[in-house]
Amino acid sequence: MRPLGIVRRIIPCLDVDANVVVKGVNFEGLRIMGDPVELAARYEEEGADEIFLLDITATIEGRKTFLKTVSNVASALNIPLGVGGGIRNLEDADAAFKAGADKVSINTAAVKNPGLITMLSREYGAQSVVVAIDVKKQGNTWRVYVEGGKRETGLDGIEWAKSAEDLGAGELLITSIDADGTRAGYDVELYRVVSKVVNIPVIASGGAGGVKHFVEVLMYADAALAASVFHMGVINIQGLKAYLMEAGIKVRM
Amino acid sequence: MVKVGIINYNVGNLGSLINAFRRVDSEPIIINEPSELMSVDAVVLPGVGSFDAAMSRLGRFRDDLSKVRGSVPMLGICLGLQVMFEGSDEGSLSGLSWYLGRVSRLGGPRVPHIGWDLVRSVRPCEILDGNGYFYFMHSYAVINPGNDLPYSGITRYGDGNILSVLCDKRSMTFGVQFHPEKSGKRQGLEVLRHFIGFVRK
Repeated sequence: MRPLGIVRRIIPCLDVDANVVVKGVNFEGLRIMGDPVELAARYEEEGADEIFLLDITATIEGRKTFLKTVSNVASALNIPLGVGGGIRNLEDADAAFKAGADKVSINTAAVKNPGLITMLSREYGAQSVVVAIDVKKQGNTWRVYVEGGKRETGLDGIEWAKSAEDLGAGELLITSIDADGTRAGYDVELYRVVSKVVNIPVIASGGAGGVKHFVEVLMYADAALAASVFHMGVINIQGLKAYLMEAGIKVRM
Repeated sequence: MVKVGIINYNVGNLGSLINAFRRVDSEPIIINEPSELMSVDAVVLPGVGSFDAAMSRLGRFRDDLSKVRGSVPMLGICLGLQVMFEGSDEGSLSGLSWYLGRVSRLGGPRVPHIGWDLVRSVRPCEILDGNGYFYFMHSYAVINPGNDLPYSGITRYGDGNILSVLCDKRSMTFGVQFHPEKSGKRQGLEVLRHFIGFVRK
Protein backbone atom coordinates (compact mmCIF):
# COMPACT_ATOMS: atom_id res chain seq x y z
CA MET A 1 0.00 0.00 0.00
CA ARG A 2 1.24 3.46 -0.83
CA PRO A 3 1.22 6.06 1.97
CA LEU A 4 -2.29 7.47 2.19
CA GLY A 5 -1.05 10.91 3.25
CA ILE A 6 0.12 11.58 -0.29
CA VAL A 7 -2.37 13.59 -2.33
CA ARG A 8 -3.56 11.46 -5.26
CA ARG A 9 -4.06 12.84 -8.77
CA ILE A 10 -6.74 12.36 -11.43
CA ILE A 11 -5.42 12.74 -14.96
CA PRO A 12 -7.64 12.83 -18.03
CA CYS A 13 -5.74 11.59 -21.06
CA LEU A 14 -6.38 12.83 -24.57
CA ASP A 15 -5.23 10.47 -27.33
CA VAL A 16 -4.69 12.90 -30.17
CA ASP A 17 -4.61 12.12 -33.87
CA ALA A 18 -3.09 15.34 -35.29
CA ASN A 19 -5.83 17.67 -34.01
CA VAL A 20 -8.72 15.54 -32.79
CA VAL A 21 -9.16 13.42 -29.69
CA VAL A 22 -9.81 9.75 -30.40
CA LYS A 23 -10.18 6.64 -28.26
CA GLY A 24 -9.97 2.92 -28.96
CA VAL A 25 -10.47 -0.37 -27.12
CA ASN A 26 -7.40 -2.51 -26.36
CA PHE A 27 -5.44 0.00 -28.48
CA GLU A 28 -7.68 -0.55 -31.57
CA GLY A 29 -10.93 0.68 -33.21
CA LEU A 30 -10.53 4.45 -32.88
CA ARG A 31 -13.53 6.77 -32.49
CA ILE A 32 -13.52 10.57 -32.55
CA MET A 33 -14.19 12.10 -29.13
CA GLY A 34 -13.84 15.84 -29.66
CA ASP A 35 -11.62 18.91 -29.73
CA PRO A 36 -8.50 18.74 -27.52
CA VAL A 37 -8.57 22.37 -26.38
CA GLU A 38 -12.26 22.25 -25.43
CA LEU A 39 -11.92 18.94 -23.61
CA ALA A 40 -8.74 19.95 -21.74
CA ALA A 41 -10.25 23.27 -20.61
CA ARG A 42 -13.42 21.52 -19.48
CA TYR A 43 -11.44 18.97 -17.46
CA GLU A 44 -9.42 21.71 -15.75
CA GLU A 45 -12.70 23.39 -14.80
CA GLU A 46 -14.03 20.07 -13.43
CA GLY A 47 -10.99 19.67 -11.17
CA ALA A 48 -8.49 17.59 -13.16
CA ASP A 49 -5.06 17.69 -11.51
CA GLU A 50 -3.14 17.64 -14.78
CA ILE A 51 -3.72 16.66 -18.40
CA PHE A 52 -1.91 14.22 -20.66
CA LEU A 53 -1.80 14.50 -24.45
CA LEU A 54 -0.65 11.41 -26.32
CA ASP A 55 0.23 11.68 -30.00
CA ILE A 56 -1.02 8.65 -31.90
CA THR A 57 -0.42 10.00 -35.41
CA ALA A 58 2.19 8.15 -37.41
CA THR A 59 3.01 10.72 -40.12
CA ILE A 60 5.47 13.61 -40.15
CA GLU A 61 2.74 16.04 -41.22
CA GLY A 62 0.57 14.75 -38.36
CA ARG A 63 3.44 15.36 -35.94
CA LYS A 64 3.63 19.04 -36.88
CA THR A 65 -0.10 19.42 -36.40
CA PHE A 66 0.17 17.61 -33.07
CA LEU A 67 2.81 20.08 -31.80
CA LYS A 68 0.47 22.90 -32.76
CA THR A 69 -2.25 21.13 -30.78
CA VAL A 70 0.12 20.90 -27.78
CA SER A 71 0.71 24.61 -27.94
CA ASN A 72 -3.02 25.38 -28.26
CA VAL A 73 -3.87 23.17 -25.30
CA ALA A 74 -0.99 24.52 -23.20
CA SER A 75 -2.11 28.11 -23.71
CA ALA A 76 -5.62 27.23 -22.56
CA LEU A 77 -4.49 25.48 -19.35
CA ASN A 78 -3.48 26.59 -15.84
CA ILE A 79 -2.52 23.08 -14.73
CA PRO A 80 0.39 20.86 -15.83
CA LEU A 81 0.49 19.23 -19.22
CA GLY A 82 2.22 15.94 -19.98
CA VAL A 83 3.00 15.10 -23.60
CA GLY A 84 3.88 11.72 -25.05
CA GLY A 85 3.89 9.64 -28.19
CA GLY A 86 6.52 9.84 -30.91
CA ILE A 87 9.31 11.29 -28.75
CA ARG A 88 12.46 9.56 -29.97
CA ASN A 89 15.33 11.82 -28.94
CA LEU A 90 16.39 15.01 -27.21
CA GLU A 91 15.22 17.18 -30.14
CA ASP A 92 11.70 15.70 -30.08
CA ALA A 93 11.54 16.26 -26.32
CA ASP A 94 12.78 19.82 -26.72
CA ALA A 95 10.12 20.51 -29.36
CA ALA A 96 7.44 19.21 -26.99
CA PHE A 97 8.72 21.38 -24.11
CA LYS A 98 8.95 24.43 -26.36
CA ALA A 99 5.37 23.79 -27.49
CA GLY A 100 4.27 23.95 -23.84
CA ALA A 101 4.74 20.51 -22.26
CA ASP A 102 5.66 20.51 -18.58
CA LYS A 103 6.71 16.88 -18.75
CA VAL A 104 7.28 14.40 -21.54
CA SER A 105 6.71 10.67 -21.63
CA ILE A 106 8.83 8.26 -23.61
CA ASN A 107 7.95 4.66 -24.35
CA THR A 108 9.37 2.83 -27.39
CA ALA A 109 12.44 5.10 -27.52
CA ALA A 110 13.25 4.34 -23.87
CA VAL A 111 13.26 0.60 -24.56
CA LYS A 112 15.40 1.03 -27.68
CA ASN A 113 17.77 3.49 -26.05
CA PRO A 114 17.57 3.46 -22.22
CA GLY A 115 20.31 6.12 -22.10
CA LEU A 116 17.72 8.61 -23.38
CA ILE A 117 16.00 8.48 -19.98
CA THR A 118 19.23 9.56 -18.26
CA MET A 119 19.96 12.23 -20.85
CA LEU A 120 16.49 13.82 -20.55
CA SER A 121 16.60 13.59 -16.77
CA ARG A 122 19.95 15.43 -16.55
CA GLU A 123 18.83 18.15 -18.92
CA TYR A 124 15.27 18.79 -17.73
CA GLY A 125 15.28 17.27 -14.24
CA ALA A 126 13.75 13.90 -13.32
CA GLN A 127 10.42 15.55 -12.45
CA SER A 128 9.84 16.28 -16.14
CA VAL A 129 10.61 12.79 -17.43
CA VAL A 130 7.89 10.14 -17.48
CA VAL A 131 8.61 6.65 -18.74
CA ALA A 132 5.48 5.05 -20.20
CA ILE A 133 5.27 1.27 -20.08
CA ASP A 134 2.58 -0.76 -21.91
CA VAL A 135 2.17 -4.30 -20.61
CA LYS A 136 0.15 -7.45 -21.29
CA LYS A 137 -0.31 -10.09 -18.64
CA GLN A 138 1.29 -13.46 -19.26
CA GLY A 139 0.67 -15.95 -16.46
CA ASN A 140 1.95 -14.24 -13.34
CA THR A 141 4.11 -11.72 -15.16
CA TRP A 142 3.60 -8.66 -17.32
CA ARG A 143 5.35 -8.39 -20.67
CA VAL A 144 6.41 -5.03 -22.10
CA TYR A 145 5.04 -4.07 -25.54
CA VAL A 146 6.19 -1.14 -27.67
CA GLU A 147 5.13 0.63 -30.87
CA GLY A 148 1.60 1.23 -29.60
CA GLY A 149 1.20 -2.30 -28.26
CA LYS A 150 2.19 -3.95 -31.54
CA ARG A 151 5.59 -5.41 -30.70
CA GLU A 152 6.52 -7.63 -27.78
CA THR A 153 9.92 -6.87 -26.30
CA GLY A 154 10.59 -9.85 -24.05
CA LEU A 155 11.15 -7.41 -21.18
CA ASP A 156 9.50 -8.05 -17.83
CA GLY A 157 7.31 -5.06 -16.93
CA ILE A 158 8.26 -4.95 -13.25
CA GLU A 159 11.98 -5.24 -13.93
CA TRP A 160 11.78 -2.58 -16.65
CA ALA A 161 9.93 -0.26 -14.25
CA LYS A 162 12.77 -0.62 -11.73
CA SER A 163 15.43 -0.02 -14.41
CA ALA A 164 13.62 3.08 -15.66
CA GLU A 165 13.69 4.47 -12.11
CA ASP A 166 17.41 3.71 -11.78
CA LEU A 167 18.09 5.40 -15.12
CA GLY A 168 16.49 8.63 -13.92
CA ALA A 169 12.76 8.51 -14.70
CA GLY A 170 10.75 10.81 -12.45
CA GLU A 171 7.43 9.04 -12.94
CA LEU A 172 6.04 5.89 -14.51
CA LEU A 173 2.88 5.77 -16.59
CA ILE A 174 1.94 2.11 -16.70
CA THR A 175 -0.86 0.98 -19.00
CA SER A 176 -2.41 -2.46 -19.01
CA ILE A 177 -3.16 -3.21 -22.67
CA ASP A 178 -5.57 -5.96 -21.56
CA ALA A 179 -7.63 -3.49 -19.54
CA ASP A 180 -7.38 -0.47 -21.87
CA GLY A 181 -10.77 0.83 -22.97
CA THR A 182 -12.68 -2.12 -21.46
CA ARG A 183 -14.06 -0.15 -18.48
CA ALA A 184 -13.73 -3.38 -16.47
CA GLY A 185 -11.40 -1.85 -13.88
CA TYR A 186 -7.67 -1.23 -13.56
CA ASP A 187 -5.26 -4.16 -13.25
CA VAL A 188 -4.91 -3.49 -9.51
CA GLU A 189 -2.50 -6.39 -8.99
CA LEU A 190 -0.05 -4.81 -11.47
CA TYR A 191 0.12 -1.56 -9.49
CA ARG A 192 0.28 -3.40 -6.17
CA VAL A 193 3.40 -5.22 -7.39
CA VAL A 194 5.02 -2.16 -9.09
CA SER A 195 4.47 0.13 -6.12
CA LYS A 196 6.46 -2.25 -3.91
CA VAL A 197 9.45 -2.11 -6.26
CA VAL A 198 9.78 1.58 -7.16
CA ASN A 199 9.92 4.77 -5.13
CA ILE A 200 8.90 7.25 -7.86
CA PRO A 201 5.26 8.15 -8.50
CA VAL A 202 3.27 5.61 -10.50
CA ILE A 203 0.40 6.65 -12.77
CA ALA A 204 -2.09 3.83 -13.41
CA SER A 205 -3.77 3.64 -16.79
CA GLY A 206 -6.24 1.38 -18.55
CA GLY A 207 -9.62 0.04 -17.53
CA ALA A 208 -11.42 2.81 -15.62
CA GLY A 209 -15.17 2.26 -15.82
CA GLY A 210 -16.63 3.48 -12.53
CA VAL A 211 -15.68 5.50 -9.47
CA LYS A 212 -14.98 2.33 -7.45
CA HIS A 213 -12.19 1.41 -9.86
CA PHE A 214 -10.36 4.63 -8.93
CA VAL A 215 -10.62 3.86 -5.22
CA GLU A 216 -9.21 0.36 -5.79
CA VAL A 217 -6.24 1.45 -7.85
CA LEU A 218 -5.36 4.58 -5.84
CA MET A 219 -4.60 2.39 -2.83
CA TYR A 220 -1.42 1.51 -4.74
CA ALA A 221 -0.90 4.11 -7.47
CA ASP A 222 -0.16 7.83 -6.95
CA ALA A 223 -2.32 8.93 -9.83
CA ALA A 224 -5.00 7.44 -12.05
CA LEU A 225 -5.28 8.26 -15.71
CA ALA A 226 -8.43 7.69 -17.74
CA ALA A 227 -9.88 8.70 -21.06
CA SER A 228 -13.21 7.40 -22.32
CA VAL A 229 -15.12 7.63 -19.01
CA PHE A 230 -14.37 11.35 -19.00
CA HIS A 231 -14.83 11.97 -22.73
CA MET A 232 -18.20 10.22 -22.78
CA GLY A 233 -19.44 11.82 -19.60
CA VAL A 234 -19.70 8.55 -17.66
CA ILE A 235 -17.73 10.09 -14.79
CA ASN A 236 -17.56 13.73 -13.75
CA ILE A 237 -14.18 14.60 -12.19
CA GLN A 238 -15.61 16.77 -9.44
CA GLY A 239 -18.00 14.03 -8.42
CA LEU A 240 -15.24 11.44 -8.60
CA LYS A 241 -13.00 13.47 -6.30
CA ALA A 242 -15.77 13.95 -3.75
CA TYR A 243 -16.29 10.19 -3.81
CA LEU A 244 -12.54 9.57 -3.29
CA MET A 245 -12.45 11.93 -0.31
CA GLU A 246 -15.39 10.03 1.22
CA ALA A 247 -13.48 6.80 0.69
CA GLY A 248 -10.48 8.22 2.59
CA ILE A 249 -8.26 8.93 -0.41
CA LYS A 250 -6.68 12.36 -0.23
CA VAL A 251 -7.24 14.54 -3.30
CA ARG A 252 -7.20 18.27 -3.99
CA MET A 253 -10.75 19.59 -3.96
CA MET B 1 1.82 47.80 -17.56
CA VAL B 2 4.30 46.02 -15.26
CA LYS B 3 7.21 44.57 -17.26
CA VAL B 4 8.28 41.19 -15.90
CA GLY B 5 11.67 39.92 -17.07
CA ILE B 6 11.85 36.12 -17.10
CA ILE B 7 15.46 34.91 -17.22
CA ASN B 8 15.99 32.31 -19.93
CA TYR B 9 18.18 29.33 -18.95
CA ASN B 10 17.56 27.97 -22.44
CA VAL B 11 16.00 24.74 -21.23
CA GLY B 12 12.41 23.61 -20.71
CA ASN B 13 9.13 25.38 -21.16
CA LEU B 14 8.71 29.09 -20.38
CA GLY B 15 5.40 29.21 -22.25
CA SER B 16 3.16 28.52 -19.24
CA LEU B 17 4.91 31.21 -17.24
CA ILE B 18 4.53 33.73 -20.05
CA ASN B 19 0.83 32.87 -20.42
CA ALA B 20 0.30 33.08 -16.67
CA PHE B 21 1.89 36.54 -16.35
CA ARG B 22 -0.21 37.78 -19.26
CA ARG B 23 -3.31 36.49 -17.47
CA VAL B 24 -2.52 38.67 -14.46
CA ASP B 25 -2.23 41.79 -16.59
CA SER B 26 1.52 42.14 -16.76
CA GLU B 27 3.89 42.15 -19.70
CA PRO B 28 6.32 39.21 -19.60
CA ILE B 29 9.63 39.61 -21.42
CA ILE B 30 12.25 36.90 -21.96
CA ILE B 31 15.67 38.03 -20.73
CA ASN B 32 18.74 36.64 -22.49
CA GLU B 33 21.30 39.31 -21.57
CA PRO B 34 22.24 40.75 -18.15
CA SER B 35 21.90 44.32 -19.46
CA GLU B 36 18.18 43.71 -20.01
CA LEU B 37 17.72 43.47 -16.23
CA MET B 38 17.87 47.26 -16.03
CA SER B 39 14.80 47.79 -18.19
CA VAL B 40 12.24 45.66 -16.33
CA ASP B 41 10.05 46.29 -13.27
CA ALA B 42 10.43 42.78 -11.84
CA VAL B 43 12.64 39.74 -12.37
CA VAL B 44 11.55 36.10 -12.38
CA LEU B 45 13.90 33.14 -11.99
CA PRO B 46 11.90 30.34 -13.57
CA GLY B 47 11.66 26.72 -12.50
CA VAL B 48 12.78 24.70 -15.47
CA GLY B 49 15.81 22.44 -15.94
CA SER B 50 18.36 21.30 -13.39
CA PHE B 51 20.55 23.17 -10.87
CA ASP B 52 23.83 23.18 -12.81
CA ALA B 53 22.10 23.88 -16.13
CA ALA B 54 20.48 26.95 -14.55
CA MET B 55 23.58 28.14 -12.65
CA SER B 56 25.82 27.89 -15.69
CA ARG B 57 23.43 30.20 -17.52
CA LEU B 58 23.05 32.47 -14.47
CA GLY B 59 26.79 32.91 -14.02
CA ARG B 60 26.83 35.91 -16.35
CA PHE B 61 23.85 37.43 -14.54
CA ARG B 62 25.25 37.09 -11.03
CA ASP B 63 26.74 40.61 -10.62
CA ASP B 64 23.88 42.45 -12.28
CA LEU B 65 21.29 40.48 -10.33
CA SER B 66 23.00 41.48 -7.05
CA LYS B 67 23.05 45.09 -8.21
CA VAL B 68 19.31 45.33 -8.89
CA ARG B 69 18.29 43.13 -5.96
CA GLY B 70 16.59 45.26 -3.32
CA SER B 71 15.28 47.79 -5.81
CA VAL B 72 13.66 45.44 -8.35
CA PRO B 73 11.27 42.83 -6.92
CA MET B 74 12.26 39.24 -7.67
CA LEU B 75 10.39 35.97 -7.71
CA GLY B 76 12.06 32.55 -7.86
CA ILE B 77 9.94 29.61 -8.87
CA CYS B 78 10.90 26.04 -7.89
CA LEU B 79 14.51 25.74 -9.14
CA GLY B 80 14.51 29.54 -9.35
CA LEU B 81 14.05 29.62 -5.54
CA GLN B 82 16.71 26.93 -5.02
CA VAL B 83 19.42 28.87 -6.88
CA MET B 84 19.11 31.68 -4.29
CA PHE B 85 20.85 29.38 -1.76
CA GLU B 86 24.52 28.35 -1.49
CA GLY B 87 24.37 25.09 -3.34
CA SER B 88 22.38 21.94 -4.01
CA ASP B 89 22.69 18.17 -3.80
CA GLU B 90 21.56 18.22 -7.44
CA GLY B 91 24.69 19.86 -8.82
CA SER B 92 28.27 20.87 -8.17
CA LEU B 93 28.09 24.60 -9.08
CA SER B 94 27.57 27.13 -6.33
CA GLY B 95 24.30 29.02 -6.10
CA LEU B 96 23.69 32.78 -5.87
CA SER B 97 24.16 32.50 -2.06
CA TRP B 98 21.65 35.22 -1.22
CA TYR B 99 20.52 32.97 1.61
CA LEU B 100 22.55 30.70 3.83
CA GLY B 101 21.86 27.01 3.57
CA ARG B 102 21.80 24.24 1.03
CA VAL B 103 19.20 22.59 -1.09
CA SER B 104 18.92 18.89 -0.27
CA ARG B 105 17.44 15.86 -1.94
CA LEU B 106 13.99 15.00 -0.59
CA GLY B 107 13.90 12.01 1.74
CA GLY B 108 10.62 10.56 0.56
CA PRO B 109 8.07 9.03 0.80
CA ARG B 110 8.13 9.44 -2.98
CA VAL B 111 10.87 11.23 -4.93
CA PRO B 112 10.26 13.29 -7.03
CA HIS B 113 7.46 15.00 -5.12
CA ILE B 114 4.90 15.46 -7.89
CA GLY B 115 1.38 16.75 -7.55
CA TRP B 116 -0.78 19.06 -5.47
CA ASP B 117 0.12 19.63 -1.86
CA LEU B 118 -0.78 21.86 1.05
CA VAL B 119 1.18 25.03 1.72
CA ARG B 120 0.78 26.05 5.34
CA SER B 121 1.11 29.76 5.92
CA VAL B 122 3.19 30.35 9.05
CA ARG B 123 3.66 34.12 8.69
CA PRO B 124 1.79 36.67 6.62
CA CYS B 125 3.30 37.35 3.21
CA GLU B 126 2.38 39.76 0.42
CA ILE B 127 2.13 36.98 -2.17
CA LEU B 128 0.21 34.36 -0.17
CA ASP B 129 -3.44 34.25 0.95
CA GLY B 130 -3.16 31.79 3.84
CA ASN B 131 -3.15 28.01 3.40
CA GLY B 132 -3.76 26.44 0.01
CA TYR B 133 -3.06 23.64 -2.42
CA PHE B 134 -0.41 24.16 -5.10
CA TYR B 135 1.29 21.99 -7.73
CA PHE B 136 4.80 20.75 -6.92
CA MET B 137 7.25 18.92 -9.18
CA HIS B 138 10.72 18.61 -7.64
CA SER B 139 13.27 16.25 -6.08
CA TYR B 140 15.20 18.90 -4.14
CA ALA B 141 14.25 21.58 -1.64
CA VAL B 142 15.36 23.52 1.41
CA ILE B 143 14.24 21.14 4.13
CA ASN B 144 13.47 22.07 7.76
CA PRO B 145 14.45 25.74 7.30
CA GLY B 146 15.99 27.49 10.31
CA ASN B 147 14.31 30.50 11.89
CA ASP B 148 16.99 32.81 10.50
CA LEU B 149 15.50 32.30 7.04
CA PRO B 150 12.65 34.61 5.98
CA TYR B 151 10.14 31.95 4.99
CA SER B 152 6.40 32.24 5.35
CA GLY B 153 5.09 28.96 3.95
CA ILE B 154 6.04 25.36 4.62
CA THR B 155 4.81 22.05 3.25
CA ARG B 156 4.96 18.79 5.16
CA TYR B 157 6.33 15.98 3.00
CA GLY B 158 7.35 12.70 4.57
CA ASP B 159 9.38 13.38 7.70
CA GLY B 160 10.43 16.89 6.73
CA ASN B 161 9.13 20.40 6.21
CA ILE B 162 9.81 21.87 2.80
CA LEU B 163 10.41 25.63 2.62
CA SER B 164 7.60 26.35 0.17
CA VAL B 165 7.32 30.16 0.35
CA LEU B 166 10.25 32.52 0.87
CA CYS B 167 9.19 36.03 1.74
CA ASP B 168 11.97 38.60 2.14
CA LYS B 169 10.14 41.87 1.76
CA ARG B 170 13.16 43.98 2.76
CA SER B 171 15.19 42.68 -0.19
CA MET B 172 12.04 42.54 -2.32
CA THR B 173 12.83 38.88 -2.89
CA PHE B 174 10.21 36.15 -2.98
CA GLY B 175 10.33 32.49 -3.86
CA VAL B 176 7.95 29.58 -4.14
CA GLN B 177 8.88 25.91 -4.31
CA PHE B 178 5.65 25.06 -6.14
CA HIS B 179 4.60 26.19 -9.62
CA PRO B 180 2.03 29.01 -9.35
CA GLU B 181 1.68 29.00 -13.16
CA LYS B 182 0.45 25.36 -12.99
CA SER B 183 -1.64 25.69 -9.86
CA GLY B 184 -4.95 26.65 -11.34
CA LYS B 185 -6.78 29.85 -12.12
CA ARG B 186 -7.71 30.65 -8.56
CA GLN B 187 -4.90 29.68 -6.13
CA GLY B 188 -1.96 29.71 -8.55
CA LEU B 189 -2.61 32.87 -10.52
CA GLU B 190 -3.49 34.66 -7.28
CA VAL B 191 0.16 34.34 -6.14
CA LEU B 192 1.36 35.97 -9.36
CA ARG B 193 -1.35 38.64 -9.10
CA HIS B 194 -0.16 39.48 -5.57
CA PHE B 195 3.45 39.63 -6.76
CA ILE B 196 2.49 42.04 -9.55
CA GLY B 197 0.50 44.03 -6.98
CA PHE B 198 3.65 44.31 -4.83
CA VAL B 199 5.67 45.46 -7.87
CA ARG B 200 3.11 48.22 -8.60
CA LYS B 201 3.47 49.62 -5.03
